[in-house]
Amino acid sequence: MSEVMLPEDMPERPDDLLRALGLDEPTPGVDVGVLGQIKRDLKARQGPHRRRTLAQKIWPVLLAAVVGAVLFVVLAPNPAAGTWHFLASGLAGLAGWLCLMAAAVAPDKPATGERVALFGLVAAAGALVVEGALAAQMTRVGFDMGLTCAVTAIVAGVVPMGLVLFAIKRSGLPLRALHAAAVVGAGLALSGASVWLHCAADNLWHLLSGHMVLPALVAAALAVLVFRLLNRERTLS
Amino acid sequence: MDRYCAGDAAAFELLFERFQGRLVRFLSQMVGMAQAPDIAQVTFMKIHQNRHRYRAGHNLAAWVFTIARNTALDHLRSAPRRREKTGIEIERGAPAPDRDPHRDRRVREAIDQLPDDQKQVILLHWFAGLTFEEVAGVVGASGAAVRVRAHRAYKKLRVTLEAVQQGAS
Repeated sequence: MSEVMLPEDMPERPDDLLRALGLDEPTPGVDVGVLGQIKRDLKARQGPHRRRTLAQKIWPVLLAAVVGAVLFVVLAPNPAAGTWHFLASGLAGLAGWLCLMAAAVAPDKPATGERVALFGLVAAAGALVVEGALAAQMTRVGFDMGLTCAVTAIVAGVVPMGLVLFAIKRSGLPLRALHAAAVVGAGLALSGASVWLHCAADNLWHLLSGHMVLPALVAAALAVLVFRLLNRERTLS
Repeated sequence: MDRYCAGDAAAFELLFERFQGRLVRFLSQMVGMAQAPDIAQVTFMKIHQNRHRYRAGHNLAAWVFTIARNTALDHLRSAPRRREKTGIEIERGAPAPDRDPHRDRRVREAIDQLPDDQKQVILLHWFAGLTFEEVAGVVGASGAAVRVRAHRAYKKLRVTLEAVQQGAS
């Protein structure tokens, strides 16, 4: 290796080169018109949200949480549900609550929103793993797509998802991928948790298809759709 | 950046102040001093329109200068098309009003003569104002390797720029 290490006292910016490169002279500034334009755009898009009170900011998310809780009452837990059902459902519920929290904080603290959303997705993945483990224990293997459960979870998730989407859209937040995942996760994880506990099926294919694969695919597709939809308008207002 | 993404206009102003001079310097080496402020302006627009793509915790300077570099490259690529359309010669390095155009051109030529790895270090460290550690992160090398590249580039530049310095004095 022919690399020769420099002496530690080598200046990072020797003065002679500074002058020779013309870096000691002032550079022309950027037209401040762009600064004003972007500041106006920020105020037009996100200003109204910043002026709202906390209650005004988060009421749609709180309402989504209430709807999520009501789903557990409407789709009452099946008496046949065992520990694994409760564990899977509990993790899915936790994922839903974390996604709701992510959606609530994201407009004011986007990075924190992203982190909380990531925890939510991890919890959702955990719920799917537990549901998978539950499926693996099942002895009934007659084919059942579990369409009823999948459709119920998706339909029941529409209201909380819509409320969270409304909250995010009116905040004007430039949506990141994890925020979009949180919007969808808040709805589908909450509804999925109640449906799983309500159904407590003992059929392998039903659990794999209706409880896991179909809702997960729909969730992924919806997250992409939400991300694209809310980031469609990128021109300055 | 987080405050800016949350709609804080003052946070964007800070970002603008922090980067505008460095961006113009950096871009002046790619498109010339006369065009650099305009390309910097386009860069700020792109930063704004793509702020949701910035990932928290990542090197902000590296992200900003990557956008600037791509904007400058797009500008250079589209120059022949613009010439064709308007019949106007779009320069790469037309002089800014109060600068020595010959010196600027020779500085750019001297930097262009450097090997790519050294040129990258010089542009990012001197013109973009990144620290050696930040440059190391951008080019994917160790801090020590970046210092060695810088040292070698300094030696070459001193030789090449001697004439420029003489001309200036």
